[in-house]
Amino acid sequence: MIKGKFRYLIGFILLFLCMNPLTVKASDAFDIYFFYSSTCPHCAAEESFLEKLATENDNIIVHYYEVNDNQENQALMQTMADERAVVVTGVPFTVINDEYFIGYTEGYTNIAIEEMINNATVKDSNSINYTIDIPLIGTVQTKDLSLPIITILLGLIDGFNPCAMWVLLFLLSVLIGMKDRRRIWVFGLVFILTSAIMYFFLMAAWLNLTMFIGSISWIRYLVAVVAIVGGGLNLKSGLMAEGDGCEVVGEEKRNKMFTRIRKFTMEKSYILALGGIIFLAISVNLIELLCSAGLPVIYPQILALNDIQTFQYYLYLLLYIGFFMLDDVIVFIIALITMKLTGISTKYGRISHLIGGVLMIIIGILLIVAPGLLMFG
Amino acid sequence: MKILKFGAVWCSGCLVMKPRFMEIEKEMPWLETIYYDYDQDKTMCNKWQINKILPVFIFLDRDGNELFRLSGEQSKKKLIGLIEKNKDK
Repeated sequence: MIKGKFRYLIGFILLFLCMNPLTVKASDAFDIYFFYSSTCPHCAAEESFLEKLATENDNIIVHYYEVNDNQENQALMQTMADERAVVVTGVPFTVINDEYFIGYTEGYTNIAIEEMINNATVKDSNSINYTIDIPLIGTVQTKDLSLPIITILLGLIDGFNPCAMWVLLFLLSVLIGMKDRRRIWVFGLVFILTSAIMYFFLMAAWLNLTMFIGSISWIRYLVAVVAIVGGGLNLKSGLMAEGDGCEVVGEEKRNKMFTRIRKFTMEKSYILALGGIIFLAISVNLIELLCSAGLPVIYPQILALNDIQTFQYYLYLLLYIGFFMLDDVIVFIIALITMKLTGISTKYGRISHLIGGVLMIIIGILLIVAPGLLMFG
Repeated sequence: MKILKFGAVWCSGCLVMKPRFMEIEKEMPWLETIYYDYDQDKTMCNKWQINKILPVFIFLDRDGNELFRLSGEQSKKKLIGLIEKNKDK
């Protein structure tokens, strides 16, 4: 029999391996359409480069089209150019998938072509040609699900980290004690929303920074190190936990927080009280950010690796934060309805440490050795 | 036999154990339990050296001596088993 925590770990690794399409090989040929003139020296240079490329890689097939004396080839070049909305001003004209090159410069075009082929090969090996039928939604390609799944998974793992929950619980306990449902509504909601907005802006800022300096590979390595170290810490705390319980927060820190919470909630002026709650949410989340073991830094890096539209980046961040806040929202809603405090078992926190630890280590390693495998879309 | 329960309002695990213990107390009305809040009952917490993990359940014999203690969330089944086993002590 596999025991307790190891059962979760093994189950999760199997799940991740199922999700990660590492085992699929690109079997399709890779086509390059090369339009050239027999009298052009740049075409000759590219032709030798492409011949060498095709010899070294069985999957690459170069289609050669001489356009000086062949009207059929000229027409094909025109069609391909029209499809890509480009005016061909000269040859060589090279088409690879949706991309194209006009002209050839040794040391630039050849490197760009090689990079494009590498990226496309990685994308090919990433793609699973399987589809699944989801009721009401229809047929969905599994590769399109990878990014949302990883977003939800990381959001949940980050959310079940119990660091910041104790502040919300104490706040709700004080509010319930006041027997003022309206205050619970307003103050609880403001606390949760402020936490979510702050988290969103922090992650969006990091996402933009990552995309802005994304070409600098040491940033990726730095995030990878954060992921591996953070993952190791998570795994350690998941495996070493003596049982499911709450770690006692330091006396001084706890008392300071409790004094603030009491002061803000008892404040007669609604505006001042709200300001206090917002200040509280910001300060708590800033301090407790360290507790998240780097997930808010790691996730934007994964997003930045995926070629999606700008608004989709922010939608994914919102999805992440939605699941990150889920446990807080559940506790808040139950408190509102029942006027009683409910806890979410710390067992989930321990499981999230274990799963999160493994996931973060895998992500860290992939960021170093094969970042292409994190390009899901 | 008596059980001392130590918990806090900010502790999720303590809140999970609250209804679980209420059910046990309903099923075993003879069982004597006392709850101490970690932030309000400092003297008792210090006396029983509660300082690392919450909740804590200390099982005492009829003379008030500690039989054993449990830390963290516990299943209802396990608690009932232990109470049955030690109820005459």
